[in-house]
Amino acid sequence: MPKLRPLAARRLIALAVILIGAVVFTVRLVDLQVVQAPKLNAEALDKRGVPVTIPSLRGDIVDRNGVVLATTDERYDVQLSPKNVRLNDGKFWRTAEKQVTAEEAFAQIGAITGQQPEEIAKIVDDALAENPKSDFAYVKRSVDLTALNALKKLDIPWLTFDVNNQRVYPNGAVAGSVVGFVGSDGQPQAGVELSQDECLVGVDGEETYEKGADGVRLPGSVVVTKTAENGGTVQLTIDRDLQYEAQQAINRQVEAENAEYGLLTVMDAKTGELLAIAEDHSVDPNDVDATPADKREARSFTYPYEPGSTFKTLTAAALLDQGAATINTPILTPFRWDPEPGVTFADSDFHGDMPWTLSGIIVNSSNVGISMLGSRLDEQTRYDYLTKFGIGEETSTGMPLESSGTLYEPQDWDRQTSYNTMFGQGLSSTIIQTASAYQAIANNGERIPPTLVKGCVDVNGKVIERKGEDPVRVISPEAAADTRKMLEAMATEGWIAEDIGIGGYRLGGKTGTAEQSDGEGGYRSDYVYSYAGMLPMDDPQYVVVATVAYPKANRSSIVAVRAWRDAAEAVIRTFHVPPSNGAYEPLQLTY
Amino acid sequence: MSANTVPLDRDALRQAAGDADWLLTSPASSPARAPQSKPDLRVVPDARPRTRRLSPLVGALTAVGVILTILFAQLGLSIAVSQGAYEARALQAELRDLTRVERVLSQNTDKLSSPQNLADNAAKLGMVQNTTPATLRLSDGAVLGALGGPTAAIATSLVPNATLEGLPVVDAEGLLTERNPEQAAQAEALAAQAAIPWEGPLPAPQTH
Repeated sequence: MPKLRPLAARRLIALAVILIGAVVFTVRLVDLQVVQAPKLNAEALDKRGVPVTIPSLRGDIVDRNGVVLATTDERYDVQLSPKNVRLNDGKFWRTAEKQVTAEEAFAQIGAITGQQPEEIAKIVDDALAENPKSDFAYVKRSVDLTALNALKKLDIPWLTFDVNNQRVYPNGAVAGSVVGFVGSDGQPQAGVELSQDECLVGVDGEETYEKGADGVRLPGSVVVTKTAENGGTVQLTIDRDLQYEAQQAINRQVEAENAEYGLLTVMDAKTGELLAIAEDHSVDPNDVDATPADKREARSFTYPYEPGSTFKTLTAAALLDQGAATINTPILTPFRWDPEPGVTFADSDFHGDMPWTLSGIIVNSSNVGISMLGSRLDEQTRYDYLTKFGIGEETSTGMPLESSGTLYEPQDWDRQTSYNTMFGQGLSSTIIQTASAYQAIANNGERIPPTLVKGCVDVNGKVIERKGEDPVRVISPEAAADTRKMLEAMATEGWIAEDIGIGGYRLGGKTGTAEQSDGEGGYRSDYVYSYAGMLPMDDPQYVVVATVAYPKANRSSIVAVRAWRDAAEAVIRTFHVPPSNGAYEPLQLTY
Repeated sequence: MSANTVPLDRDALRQAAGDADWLLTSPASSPARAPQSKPDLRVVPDARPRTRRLSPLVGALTAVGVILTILFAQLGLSIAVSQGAYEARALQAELRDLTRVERVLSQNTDKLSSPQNLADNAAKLGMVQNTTPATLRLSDGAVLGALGGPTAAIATSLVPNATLEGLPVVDAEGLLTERNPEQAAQAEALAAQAAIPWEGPLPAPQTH
C-alpha cells in the first residue's frame, strides 16, 4: 500500500490538472459561444459584411380605369470621388492600351450629362478645396437610364452611381391638384399623395453580404435582414379623359372671360363618386414651381363660396318634401319685398308683380318669390334640410383638407340672413358640397356622400376599400322628381336654354349669381357665377357643377353655363351616354 | 479472436443440441451418453472460402485515396458554386437592368398616351372632334342623335404637362415637328449655335 501512494498521488494531480484545464476551457468556450457571441458576430460581420439598403418604390396613384396618374421613376445620381480623380495625375487606363486623362473624361461625361467639361472640373476643384481628401461629390443628380448606361460604358474608375427615385406624373396637370405632389426629399406635400401616404409608402429593405477583394458577393453570404416592400396603389374615382376635358373647358372660360378662378366638378349621380374635379390652371406636379402658390391646392375642396341661386333648388326641394308647396303653387311676386322691419331684398332684374308658380320662380330665379314661399318653413326646418343636403359639414372624400363651408346655426341667423339663406347667400359651400346636394336630387332624394379615393391595393394585391359615409335620405323620391322637373324647365325654357342645349339630350340645372364677402363685412361688387345641373333628365346619371368667379369680360352666369355645356358634352362622349328618351313636358310657370 | 477463427462443426453441435433434449427428460442418463459422443468431435475443413487478409498498406492507400477524392470533389464543388455566384450576379444585374428598361418603356407609354400628347398630335394631324356623336342602337338599328352633328377643331391643350417637354409631334405629312412654335424657335436658335450630330436611329417616315 505505501508503495502505491506516490503513483496514486500523481494520478490524482494529473486528474486535477486535466479537470481544471477542462473547466477553464469550458468556461471560455461558453463565454465565447454564448455570452459574447452576438457581439463578436456583429464585429466580424462589420469587418467583412457590406450592408445595403434596398429602397422600396412608392406606389402608384391610378384613375378609375387604372390609368397611371402618379408613379415612381428610377433616376440615378452620378457621383465622383474628387481625390481619386487626381490620382496618377488624373490619368487612368481604360483598357490595357488606352490611357485617358481627367480632362478627356470630363468632356466625355459632359457630353452625356449636358455639362461643360469646365463645370465638372470645377466640381472636383471645389470639393478638394473644401476638403483635400474629399471622396464624394455629385456630378449630376437624377439622370435617366439612357444617360446612366452611356456613363457606365465610359468605364471611369472614379465615377459611381446611385439610385434616386423620383415621382413622375405622366399626365401632367390632369388632376394635378387632386393627385398632389411630393417635395424634392420625396415627402408628400399635397393632395392624395399626402392624404393616402400610408398606403403609398413602402418599407425599405435591408440586406448584408460579404464581399471578396474584387467586390463579388461571396456565395451564400447574402443575408436579407429585411425584405423591401413596395408601396400600394391608390385608386381614385376620377376618369382621366373626362378630367382633361373638364380642365380644358374651365381653363377656356377663365381665360376667355379673364376670371379670377374657375371650378368644374362632375359626379356620378348614382354613387356620389367624383369623376372630374377641374380647376383653372391647376398645378402640374412635375413642375410645381411653375404654378402660383394659390393655385397649387385642390381649390374645389378648400374654396367655399356663397353659392347664390343654385340653392333656391334646395329650398324648393324642402318645400315640396314638406308638402308646404307644389310645383304649381301660385304666388304673386313683387320686384322688392320688405317682410320685416329692416329686412329688404329684391330680384336682380326689375319686374312688375308677377303671377308665378313655384316652377316659374325657379325658372325666373326670383329671390323674392323663393323667400315668400320658403318662409312657410321655419328656420330650424330649413336648417335641417340644408344639413341633410350636406351643407356646413366637411366632406370626406379622401383629400387631406376639405372645408366645411359656413352654415351658422339658425339661432345665430340675423333677420336678413334668415331670408338670404333661402337663395344661397349668408352661407357658403364648396363646389363638392353643391354637387353632393344636387346628387341627392338626381338620386331620388338619397344623398350618397361624395368619394374620391376608392381604395388601396397593396403590393400583394389585397384590396382595402375605403369605407364611405352612410347615405342620407334627404327628400322623398316624389319631391326629388318634382324638383328635377323644375330644373329641366329652367334648362329648357329659361333664358339660358339656347346656350346650353345639346341636341337629343334632356338637361336640367339652375344658374347662380352670388355676391361674395369682401372680407371686410361687406360684399364685393363682382360676382361668382355658377351653374349646377344634371343629365340626362330621363334618368340622371351625372351631376355637373361649373363655377366661374369674378369674370371681367361677360358679367353673367352664361360664362358658367358655357363651361357646363362643354363638360356635359365631354361626359356624353366619355361615357357614351345615349340620347334621352321621352320629351320635356312643359310646366305651368304662371297662373 | 482465436475463438472465432476456429471453425466449428455446426452440424455436430446442432446434433449435440438436438440430442441434448434428453438432458431435460432424463438427466440421469447423461453420464452414459457423454462419453459416447465425445469421439464424434473432429476438426472439419471450413466450407467457406478463406478471406484473404488485406495488407495494411493497401488499407492506408485506400483511405488516403478516398480522402483525396472527397477533397477534390469538394474543391470542384466549391469552384462550381463560386462560378455560379458570378453567373448569378451577372444574371441578377441583367434582370435589374431589364426591369429598369421595362419601367422606362412603360412610363414612356404612359406619357405618350396622356391626353395632352394625343390632343397635340390630333390637332397637328388636322383631326376634328364630333362634339355630340350619334349612337346606333343595336336592338332595332335606330340611329339616335343627329348624324350631321357639329364638329369642332381640336383645341390646343391648356393643361400643361412637363413630361412632354422636347417631345416632337407628328404632323399631317407624317413628319416630326416641334410641339409648340416658341419651342421650335428656341431649338432653331440652339441649332444655329452649334451643330449637334444626330444620334440613334433615324425616325422612319410613317407611311401607311
